[in-house]
Amino acid sequence: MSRPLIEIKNLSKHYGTKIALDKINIKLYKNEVVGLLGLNGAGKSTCLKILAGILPPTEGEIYLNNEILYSSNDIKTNDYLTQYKSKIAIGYLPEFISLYPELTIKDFIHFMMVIKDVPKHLREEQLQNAIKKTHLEEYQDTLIKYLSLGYQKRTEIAQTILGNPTLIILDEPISGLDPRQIIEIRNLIRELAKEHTILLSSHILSEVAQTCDRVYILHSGKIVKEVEKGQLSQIENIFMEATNV
Amino acid sequence: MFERFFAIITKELKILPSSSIPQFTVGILSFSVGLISILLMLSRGLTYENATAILIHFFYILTLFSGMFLSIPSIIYEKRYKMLDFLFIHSINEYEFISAKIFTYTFLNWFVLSLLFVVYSLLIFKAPFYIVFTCVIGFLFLSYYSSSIGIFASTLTNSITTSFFLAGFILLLIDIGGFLSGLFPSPAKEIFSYFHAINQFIPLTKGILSIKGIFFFFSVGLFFHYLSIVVLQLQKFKGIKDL
Repeated sequence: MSRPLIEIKNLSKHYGTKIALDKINIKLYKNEVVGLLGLNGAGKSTCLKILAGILPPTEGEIYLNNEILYSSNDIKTNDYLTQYKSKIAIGYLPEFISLYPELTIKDFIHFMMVIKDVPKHLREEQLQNAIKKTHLEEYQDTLIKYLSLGYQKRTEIAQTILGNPTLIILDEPISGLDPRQIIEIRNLIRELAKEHTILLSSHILSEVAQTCDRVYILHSGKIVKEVEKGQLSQIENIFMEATNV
Repeated sequence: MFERFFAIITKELKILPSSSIPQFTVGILSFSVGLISILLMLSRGLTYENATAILIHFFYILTLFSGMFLSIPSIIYEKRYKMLDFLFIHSINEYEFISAKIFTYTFLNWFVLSLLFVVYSLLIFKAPFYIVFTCVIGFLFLSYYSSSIGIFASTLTNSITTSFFLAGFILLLIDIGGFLSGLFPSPAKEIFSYFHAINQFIPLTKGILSIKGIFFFFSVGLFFHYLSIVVLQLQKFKGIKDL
């Protein structure tokens, strides 16, 4: 494989005495869909939030195209949020639905474009692009509160691709969806991977196996196994073995 | 910066029609004003001057309450929709966010209250124009003051009811705190003796554009405006430690 787009080295996160992430190493290559698989409380969301620039790590390094993006030796924790975010464009889908139900899809995406500082001359194009990619054309003028959960997820995914992010982070993108919606969102993620690198978390084994190119198994804050594409069909056995369940 | 500020205002205004709170507030306001007007008109021996004074004081209380009612749900809903932390991942900061919210609800409250006040005081109670004018100016700063306190209270809790009680308590303390000043030693005594919000408003009800009164409401409003920003900064990303 070529050089990684994003490389995480020895990343740790401590909450007081509790260790949420313990020196994890992750490599993300361009146009890949990488999964973080683990039990509840394994540290998946913490890892994604650090990469999204929401939580500061306790220690470690993050590289973008082999150039240092963050190092706990150079940047104070308090400066992490501003400094990290200024160097990389990231689209983030939170675990829980974060939308304004009283806005229409179009208004919400437009609002997010302003909040994300998308240049004015690109907004109309990006709005249409996001709506088209997420197949929301029919409902763009519908209030979000009247949409099904699947379409609400699509709206959230639409906001993640605004500003043409280098990395899209999806925290439990299929949680709460019915089987049909799961298939639709899976296809959508595969489509987005043609232009973006995607890191997603899930605790549904079959889903991760079908959506991702590679999977990291996270257990008690540690990466216990890296599963390559060819091994994904045996993900259940590998997961059980790795997590000693 | 201003674009994000105006984006928040636009978003707030677009959300308003779908939320029941503003309609409820306007409904209660109209009903209360109508009721007090009828009571005043039925009161025998009441001069236009006295009736106007009562009406102004009534509007003073209404401005405080409606400012609070309008502004509190705005932050609570952001928390309920899990948008607060999500927004702060992006370029927006607490200054823009809080200021845009307070700006929106100050002017909304002022517009509705002033409209009602002008209709009732000028057209029904035949109050002198200069009194109506100073009161309308006063209501603007009063709206800022009550909206700031409402927003501040809602940054502290996740419940609309608790925020109402908290904001109500703060408003009451500032309004009647002066009566309790004797209980405190100096210099707290001097500071508390200044807390007679209604007294600061009285010159405006007499047609005097009191700079001291305006400064009082503006400075207290600014204080709570700043406190809301500080509270939000302290709370930032605290709700997402999901181990």
